[in-house]
Amino acid sequence: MESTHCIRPVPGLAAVVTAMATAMAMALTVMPATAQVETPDEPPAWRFSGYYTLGHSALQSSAARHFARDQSQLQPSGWEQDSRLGLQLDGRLSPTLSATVQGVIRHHVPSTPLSQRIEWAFLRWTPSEAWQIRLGRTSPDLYLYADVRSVGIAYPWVRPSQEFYAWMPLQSMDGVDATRLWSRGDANWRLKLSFGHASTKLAAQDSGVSAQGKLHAIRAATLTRETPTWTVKATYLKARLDLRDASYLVALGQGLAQLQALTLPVLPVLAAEAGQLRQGLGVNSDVRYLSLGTQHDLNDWLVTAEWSATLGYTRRQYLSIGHRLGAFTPFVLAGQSRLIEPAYTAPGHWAAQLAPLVGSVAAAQAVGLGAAAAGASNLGRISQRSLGIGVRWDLRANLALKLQHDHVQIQADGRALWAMRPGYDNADFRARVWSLALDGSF
Amino acid sequence: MMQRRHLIAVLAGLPVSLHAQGEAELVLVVGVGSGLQSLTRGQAVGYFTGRLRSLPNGELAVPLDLPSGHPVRERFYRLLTGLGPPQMNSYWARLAFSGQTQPPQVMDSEAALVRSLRDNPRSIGYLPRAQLDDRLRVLLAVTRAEA
Repeated sequence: MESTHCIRPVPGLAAVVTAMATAMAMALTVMPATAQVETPDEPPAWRFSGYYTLGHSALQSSAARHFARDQSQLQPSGWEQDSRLGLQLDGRLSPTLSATVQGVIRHHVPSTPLSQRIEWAFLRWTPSEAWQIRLGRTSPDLYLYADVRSVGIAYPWVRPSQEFYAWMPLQSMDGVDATRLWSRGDANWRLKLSFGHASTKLAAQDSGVSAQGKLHAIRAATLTRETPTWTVKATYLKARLDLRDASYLVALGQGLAQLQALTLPVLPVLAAEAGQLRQGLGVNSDVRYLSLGTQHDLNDWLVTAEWSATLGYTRRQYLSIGHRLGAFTPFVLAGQSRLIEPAYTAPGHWAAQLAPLVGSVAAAQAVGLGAAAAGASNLGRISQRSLGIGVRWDLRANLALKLQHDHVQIQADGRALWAMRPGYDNADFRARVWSLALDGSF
Repeated sequence: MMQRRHLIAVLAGLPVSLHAQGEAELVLVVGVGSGLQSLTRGQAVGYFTGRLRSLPNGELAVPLDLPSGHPVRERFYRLLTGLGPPQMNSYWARLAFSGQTQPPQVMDSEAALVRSLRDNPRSIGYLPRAQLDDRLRVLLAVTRAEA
């Protein structure tokens, strides 16, 4: 684990721009060969497109001084939470083979590797209408808006529900997915199976502590039923969460393992507690996600609802209702992220149990180890609910202005998205967030 | 019939183009060289929402769009999908920026669209019925979706 206090993210942007420009320039060098076989009536073999958001948020809270859109950010400023620029290059290599590269310039946890700022980079093989196979970097497609969470023009809000999407552990996935497509009536069905691994830099806002979160052996199945006006989606994903390269967590885990081994014969209850704390660090454990979502866009009503569970750990859900009135779409958005397990507490009672065995100094050190592990385990907890109202104003087909106000209630033991003011007394708190965003695509 | 309506409009001093765009029947068309003889409404929705890519002969279809903001384009998508321009743009943003598929090729004008339909047997487009000629074939009259 590394500390990233007071490091600002701006220098990384230049490197991202350079890398993206290089990747796209490399792609463009092969364009003439493809263009030679085109006729004026063929669609272009290469297509450049993009999207952007210029956003600003103002936080009103007596307890918090920063909030993050998701855990891939660290104490972003009011301009950094939502502002972004996405650039995409699509290439048609043959009638059945195509390529896509997309990079997003936005605020990241500092020291996020350049390679993790490219969101899409894959080859797609479409042997028939019924099958599609993609190889490379794709999105895990876990939630309704997982694939377009950065594309503001694609949804009515300034940002997807913070309670639901802020903890999305997978930003991108390296691997392969196979999709079977079929139609029934006016609906299109997609069954997608994905295999791969993912790596994302995550941060706890208050402590400034960040870690490289890795998911190995991702196995996911997504079933989608879609018409232009109604989408229903269900996903099940299983993976192994690995934080082993976070040295701070590794050290805590090793210390707890030693304590567990030492105390098992004489203090089995204490050994079990040490084991639970070690498991809570999430250094190497299985995780399973289940999610269901629906989006209905009909007769000027836009209704979106999603529910998700990290089995055994959390429940997340949100509901949004919007109504289109000409160019204006007022909406309400209510979300909740709830933790099933209570927060870990420092094991102060270990001192009395261990002192007769190992002496008071060593016992105090063990308590300190347990307290540090409990604190580290609680860093990533998100437990909050919010109610937001806002309006989207479509200035043009590809340009929208949005204003949103959120009232958020945050539990003391679930504030991973919030950085606190000095002297905060570790109680539940409330925050109000005003957000203004201009979203466009080209 | 359309010519007669145009004549009446002209005689009445009404703007002909507005009348034609507001009232004229829209049709899905291909060039006479295309292998397509007809389309169901579901297939039409499929081609113009990126869900259907291939022609019956296995070749890649090339659906064509009129420019953004063109009144015929706006009316076509309202009739076919029930969605207005911002909603269609959001729809395509979801598909294009999630790497699924790309929107139809945008032509500069109705004349360019007609030219492409005549020259490329894989092209599919939409036009007011009044603009048909003997080198284009109607596949489907585009009417409002039934509730």
